[in-house]
Amino acid sequence: MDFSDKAQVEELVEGCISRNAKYQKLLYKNLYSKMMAICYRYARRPEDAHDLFQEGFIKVFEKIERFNFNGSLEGWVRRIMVNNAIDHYRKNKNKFAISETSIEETDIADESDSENMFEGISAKQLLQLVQQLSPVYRTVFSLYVMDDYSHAEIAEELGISEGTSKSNLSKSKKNLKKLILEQLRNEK
Amino acid sequence: MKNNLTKEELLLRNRLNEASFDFKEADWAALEQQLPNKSFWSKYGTALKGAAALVFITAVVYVLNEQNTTLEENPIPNKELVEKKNETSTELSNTLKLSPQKAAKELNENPKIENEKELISDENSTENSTKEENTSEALILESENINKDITSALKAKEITSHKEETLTKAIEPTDYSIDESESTNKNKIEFEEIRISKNRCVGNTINIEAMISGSLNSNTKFTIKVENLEFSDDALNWSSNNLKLSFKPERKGNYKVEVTEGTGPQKKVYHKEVIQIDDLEQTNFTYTDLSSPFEDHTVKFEANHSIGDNFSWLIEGKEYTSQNAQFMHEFNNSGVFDVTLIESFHNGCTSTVSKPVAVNRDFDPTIEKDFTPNGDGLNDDFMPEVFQLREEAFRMVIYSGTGNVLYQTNSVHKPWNGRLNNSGEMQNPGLYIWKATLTNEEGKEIPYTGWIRIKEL
Repeated sequence: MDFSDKAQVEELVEGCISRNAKYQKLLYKNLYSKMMAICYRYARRPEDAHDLFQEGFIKVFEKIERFNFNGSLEGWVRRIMVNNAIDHYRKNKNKFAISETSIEETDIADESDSENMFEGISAKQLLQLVQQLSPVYRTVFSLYVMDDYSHAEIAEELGISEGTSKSNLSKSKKNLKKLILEQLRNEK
Repeated sequence: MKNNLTKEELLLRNRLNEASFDFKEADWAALEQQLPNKSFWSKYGTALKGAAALVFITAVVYVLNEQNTTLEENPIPNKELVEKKNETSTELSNTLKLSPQKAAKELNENPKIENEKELISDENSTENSTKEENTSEALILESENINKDITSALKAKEITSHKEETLTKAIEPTDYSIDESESTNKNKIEFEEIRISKNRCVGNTINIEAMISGSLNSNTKFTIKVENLEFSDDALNWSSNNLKLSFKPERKGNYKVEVTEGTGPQKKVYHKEVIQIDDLEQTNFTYTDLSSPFEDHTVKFEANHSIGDNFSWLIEGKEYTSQNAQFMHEFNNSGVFDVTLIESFHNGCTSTVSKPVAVNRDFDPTIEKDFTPNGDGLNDDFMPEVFQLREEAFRMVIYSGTGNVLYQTNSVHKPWNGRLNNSGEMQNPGLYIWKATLTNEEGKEIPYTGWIRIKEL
């Protein structure tokens, strides 16, 4: 499947609109890896990521008629997945509130080692560490660093102030680095 | 990228983007269950089709009965009939995309039109859909087909009930034109179904057959085309100029299957669908020769994995099947035999492997061995063939007739060349003994022995 080939994408979308399972599967299969990676970043556990992923795809197939070929299909699916993750975050916000306060502020790891620091860690391990962040840190980090949301957009989506979004981002990075260092130490 | 990411953020982003997840068939199966289309159409699609068809048949029978009875009754005045027809025709024209005037005119001109409405609607919908596909490259998809069938059947029902209404009030004798319309029907070609064998895996021969009804004349040229959607490679495209096509894909992926008639602007697309060709777990087998010299020639075969539902072994032109991966066979004599294993999987796919199997080969004293180590390139080296097929640790010693060691090796790739230690003096023509051992995984040594004759040089 070549997502840059307009004819192929049109055929795919039309197939999905007419609810043809073959095309639905084709889309699902081709975006499986990328979308699963997105869902992992927004979820606490792999099972939750999996649920987000499946739920997201159900929305994709429900809404596929609305895809208007402005921009890439992958980008569109990606937005639905991210929006679904945000919806999920909003719904569970109150449940998270307690765990939020328990986050301890930690010393900042030296910025200079960060480059070497990431070398020793695999993408999957890093994903697991992102999952260990608190829900709001995880969400802000993913939205800003991975999914190109501005602080203003994050503030609006999550119902927080722009300042909070910024400070959450920096705290999330601090915590992530701490987790990475711990992981590397344990490996040794 | 919208945000100005710091170097550190970029590093994190790039690393996280490297994460990949392997597609799991089970995930798709679980999701497919939750999609509304699947449950609805698979449960009710056929039933709806059937119900609509039944309604239609009942209606026709009813109309025919009514015709007989109402004929004797008083017909309503002509004016009312025309009005009724106009009403019907407008509705008809809306559904059939004919101009109302034209439809009304036709209806008024030809009293038989009532019975032909159904025919028109059918033909038109087919034509329209065919045109649509040709121009806009729209796909005929299974669900769409069902949809269409249902809508046309529902339309038919709607029309028929209208017909029923009109006919009960006024019937003209010329309405008995069912036969005629059937004969018109025969002249058009109907795509009925496509049969694609289920063994949709790499290396499997997949058969496609399109079922077409209606009278076909010699000018009707059908084409079945299969092409890979991801790569435009001739080796991944097939086409036939009739209604059957067999192809053997060597690459997994999605393939488009298209049934068309005619060429150029006259081309009609009858069917299009995408099928998925999956990768296959390549089968393989190992074997153990259980035979000993001068005794039976039993070989134990074992397929490398037991995913398959059925294992079929082709040996000396006969087929033997086993439900599990293990299979024993007794050969009639020693020799090298080609054995083929066909492993069938639950999805209908098969994987095949063929290889030579040496049975008690080097132990048979009746086989005259040609060993002429004269450097002419023919039979200059000696290494029992059977060992070349084995993967166990190997050791072989060659003895003279008097029991002196002439050559030793630990590699099946280092055969004896007829000289002392492969470098000294060339041995005289005559009989020599070889002893070999294979050491299996448990460290057990299995001895083999045989003889070799150096022929007159």
